[in-house]
Amino acid sequence: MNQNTDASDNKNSNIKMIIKRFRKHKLAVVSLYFLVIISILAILAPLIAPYDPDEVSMAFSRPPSKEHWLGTDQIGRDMFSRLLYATRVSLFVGFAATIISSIIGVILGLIAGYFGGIVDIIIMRITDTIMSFPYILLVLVAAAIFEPGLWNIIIILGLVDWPGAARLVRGNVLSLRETNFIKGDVVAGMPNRYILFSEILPNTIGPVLVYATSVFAISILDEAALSFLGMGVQPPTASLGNILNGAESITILTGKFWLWIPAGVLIILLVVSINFVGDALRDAIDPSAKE
Amino acid sequence: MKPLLQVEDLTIAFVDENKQKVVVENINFSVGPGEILSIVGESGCGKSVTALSILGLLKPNARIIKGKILYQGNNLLDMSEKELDRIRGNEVAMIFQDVMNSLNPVLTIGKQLTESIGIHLGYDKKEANEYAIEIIKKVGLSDPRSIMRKYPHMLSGGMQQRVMIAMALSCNPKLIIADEPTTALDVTIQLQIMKLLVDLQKEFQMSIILITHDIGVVAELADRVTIMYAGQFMEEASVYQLFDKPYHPYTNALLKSIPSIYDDKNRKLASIPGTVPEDYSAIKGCKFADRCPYKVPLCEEIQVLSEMESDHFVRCHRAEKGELVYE
Repeated sequence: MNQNTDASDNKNSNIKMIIKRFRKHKLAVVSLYFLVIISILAILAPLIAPYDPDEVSMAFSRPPSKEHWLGTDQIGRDMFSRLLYATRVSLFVGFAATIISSIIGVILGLIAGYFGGIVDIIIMRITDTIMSFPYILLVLVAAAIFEPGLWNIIIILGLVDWPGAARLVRGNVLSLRETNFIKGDVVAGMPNRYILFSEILPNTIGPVLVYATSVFAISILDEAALSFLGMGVQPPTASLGNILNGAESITILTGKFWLWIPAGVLIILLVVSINFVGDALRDAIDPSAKE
Repeated sequence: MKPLLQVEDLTIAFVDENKQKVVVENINFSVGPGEILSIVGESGCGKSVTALSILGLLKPNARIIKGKILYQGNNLLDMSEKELDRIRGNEVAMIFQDVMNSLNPVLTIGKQLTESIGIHLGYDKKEANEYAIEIIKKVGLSDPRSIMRKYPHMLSGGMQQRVMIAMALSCNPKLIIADEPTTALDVTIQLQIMKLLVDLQKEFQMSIILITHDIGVVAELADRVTIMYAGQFMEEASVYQLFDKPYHPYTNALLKSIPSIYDDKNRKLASIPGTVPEDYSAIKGCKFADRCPYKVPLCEEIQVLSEMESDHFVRCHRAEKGELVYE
């Protein structure tokens, strides 16, 4: 490193390093492109979709054709348009739920790990309690108590997904608390909020980010499962889950593949690529890793 | 001269379940302004625990049974965390043993330095930056601006330790506690770092408590020395007194084990047989008796620290009676 590098250069070189290490994972790079493209399509759905997703036409259950690329459903709605909107909803649910659960998990984990004692015990017992419930049952009960709907599903998923993040962060904080630089901060009389958010938090961002990607993938799956069971996003709003819900009957499964294969494949691809990206991120983000 | 820090009858024990293990027993010492006090001893005899207790950094299983730690006359043990924070930031700083995890790996050196400067001295970002650069220069690192932007893993061990010293100095402390500051470094760097500490000590008029197991280092730097063994002070004196005329057999053995370039090449390096006993709080009499070549039955009795000459204390009944003469 030569002398006249300036601050922005150094920051850039750090980011470059992360990108460089990320690029080594070919699958992750492909997955990332895929996710970006899908996200753009989803965000721009209103501009791209050839039809209104809720518009009923006279063409019932038509197979894919020039007018309807992915065919139409039983009441004549364009499947391609519905799929675009569904992706938009599913990604949004997954993303929002991940943000909520990560924020809750990180804050509770930081507090539990750093302050210890009775606070730690209380937070960790709550965490254990939530973790010990059968997950999908908990979500179903919550969905039954609150009205099923887009925002409720986001909040429900956000509220049941945080224990993992909390545990992860707490574990990290416990080991960080014993390091000399944290002790040094204590010796230097630094305020707790500085130690927690400026010294400890940056050290846990990597693992949390990686964990968040898996929560993102799981949230998408959960939303699909809930919507499939009719407890999630309510029709006519399309989501990947309730598109599949429309494909419960044997005749559709065997005879009308265009109604369920695209949505199913899309869920698989989304989840798999998010996980690939998460894996590569874990390797790329570690600040002490060599090239 | 009024002492800056005075420790009185400090006794610390590790408590687990119902058992209590005393690790530091009735120690007394004081550090005057501008003085370097060195605490010397083997691993596992309570040096670090003593140091950590001063700053309230003991682990939850360590209890201070009795004693006082007076900083400028105020007992640190009676202070609330808030009051302690004021002292810890501005008055007392610490340099740790293990350099490698003393700096936050995900923040740049500059960020770590300027944050505490900003909080303690009330400087804004630009002032704190300028000031940090000044301090990095002071600890002998060239090109401070590029150092500021580096992450800890980009620096060598010696450079990291210099940065640690810079951090300790950044808030103009009156007292620095250095817990084996050079243990993790190689020999050539060790001396440089020690010299640096002493130079800065003179320049900034600080006091230092230097904790080390290297008695050779002590001779060059310290004003006063205490020899610690198994949680007790065995001997305390000025450097000159101690090296000139050690009273305690343990001190004598330590001094003998310093290698010298004038030694006979074929002679084996002197060593003290055995190790510090595991559970030394159970030993009633002289804690060193097991390893002492001058042991007599009376050594099983409780030993007290007694003054041999002015400001020269020793905890050994035989030395006290003048029975021990070392060549």
